[in-house]
Amino acid sequence: MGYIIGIGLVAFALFGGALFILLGGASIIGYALEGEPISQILIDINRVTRNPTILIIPLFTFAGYIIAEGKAPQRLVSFARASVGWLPGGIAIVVLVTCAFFTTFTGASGVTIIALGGLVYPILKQTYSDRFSLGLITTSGSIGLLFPPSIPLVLYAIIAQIPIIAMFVAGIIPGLLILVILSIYCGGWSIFKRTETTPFKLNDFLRSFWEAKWELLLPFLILGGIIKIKLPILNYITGLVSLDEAAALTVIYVGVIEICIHRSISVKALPQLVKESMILVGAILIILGIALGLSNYLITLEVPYTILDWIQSITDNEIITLIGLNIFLLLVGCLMDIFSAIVIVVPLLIPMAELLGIDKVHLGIIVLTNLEIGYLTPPIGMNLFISSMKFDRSVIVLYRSVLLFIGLLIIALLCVTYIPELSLWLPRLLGITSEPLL
Amino acid sequence: MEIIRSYTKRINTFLGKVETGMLCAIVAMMIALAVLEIILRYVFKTSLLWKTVMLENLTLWLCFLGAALASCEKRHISIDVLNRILPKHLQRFRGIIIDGLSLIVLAFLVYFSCTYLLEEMKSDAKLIGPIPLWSAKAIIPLGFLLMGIHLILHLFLNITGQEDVDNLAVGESD
Repeated sequence: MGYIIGIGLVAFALFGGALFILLGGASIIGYALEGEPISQILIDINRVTRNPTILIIPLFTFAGYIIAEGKAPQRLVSFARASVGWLPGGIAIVVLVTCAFFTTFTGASGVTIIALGGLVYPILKQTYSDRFSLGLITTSGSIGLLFPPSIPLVLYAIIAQIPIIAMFVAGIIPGLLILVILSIYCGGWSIFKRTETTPFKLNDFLRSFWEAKWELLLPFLILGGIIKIKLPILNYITGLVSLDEAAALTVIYVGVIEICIHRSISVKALPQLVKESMILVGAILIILGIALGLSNYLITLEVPYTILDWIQSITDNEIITLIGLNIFLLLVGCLMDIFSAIVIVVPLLIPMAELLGIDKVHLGIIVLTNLEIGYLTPPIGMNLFISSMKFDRSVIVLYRSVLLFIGLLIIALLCVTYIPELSLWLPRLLGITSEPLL
Repeated sequence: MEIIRSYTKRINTFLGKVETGMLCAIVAMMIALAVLEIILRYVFKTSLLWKTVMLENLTLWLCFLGAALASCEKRHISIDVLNRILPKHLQRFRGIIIDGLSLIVLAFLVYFSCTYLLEEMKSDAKLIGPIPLWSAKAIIPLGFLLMGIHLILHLFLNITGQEDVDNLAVGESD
């Protein structure tokens, strides 16, 4: 009986049934079989909003949509071009950095490819081959997930029950590492192929910096607003607002920039942006609400421990276990979008990590880096399909174009996995622990 | 038949507009609430006791109205691996079966959230002033109901004619 239900549910999911319906159906059947009151599901959904970190998701997402709608991409690209365009591979680095900035705010990568792809593809094509350009844009679509305030970081912190600040800070160095590795590759490629570079002009640099100054300030304002930095002077002007207030202020800030200062979107466009962003928020939160209940149920069934026992029966070598974890997560990453993957997989991993002695913050960075790569992994990584639609190429062309980039990301992944200090050093330096805030 | 179909589409769009309007109001309230709190804290050295509960319930409303709107536009997050390789003529058939199954689950969710709401109504906790807390929770059955209605409308369009075979493709989330 159990198997039939299981197969039915899997088939439902694979044929495109909405994930929250799948989880809802699974919970109803599960509770009914156990003889538990089914209205428990609703209590869990309601409980989701009690988590203070959840409250910041809607407004940060809305702010991201406002930024993407305005002319911010153009300003950022021209600033990046003026500042690093003179390097070998400069143009490619411009694309990497701008896309990373964008993904950070829009949370998931599809938005970046759709919003920025059309803008940066022609710029890349002037210097690089078609294959390289496509590969780079498709890859860029998901780097940046590790920088604050990206929604996947927030979701992970909620589910792992660790302070969001710890995740925000922990992601910075691994995120930069990925950017640096990809930039070095682009630089090397350009030297090898002797591509042209644009000479550095101080005038252009200053002008484009001035034009993009408001957007460039944003990450510092957000982090400074919520983290108390214990340095002279900064001590007084940082850490003044709570997370949800920071999210609201971010919306006001980007709204003022785009509507009043740059006048790139009109007030009339706002309802449409509310609609677009809240569809995403609603779709994520409803899954989160139902999944949290279901994962509590799976934990009472001791599912994570069963999996752990199974793993330990195969090997007790930590390095091999971590490789297994990476492979598993890569698979998950190409099957599901990042939000559902975090919601479903993380509750199963947390108890295992505790037993294996992996720090929850470190685990979070490993999970997100894997899912980031999973987005690109053939045959069904999501970014490949989005790029294929956006640039009107066959998916096969994209498979070939991203292979090398995946290799580079896997190098970064191995560093992040086996050098916990990359994730843990900065939080420790700032005195942020991963202990839950009570 | 074409008239019924066009009315069906109109109802769907109309509900979507109502939901969008409510979402705009809620987002505006959330921003206003945060600003008010900051001003009260730093200028008047006081704070709103009910702010957190209010914010939690506004988020609950956002969640359900957003999800209803996702149903309206068929943009719920799904895994949807096989749909990408399924032949066109089977896709419509697939849509009907998946929607039908979803409807059953939604019906259960509406039913159980109603019993949950009835349970909540017994408590006399207050949201703010005289407004009872359960009124905020009413969005749970209402939200599931709206998702169900959108689903029925889509199902009807799918059965009666050649509605563009699920253009939800890879979903909004990506």
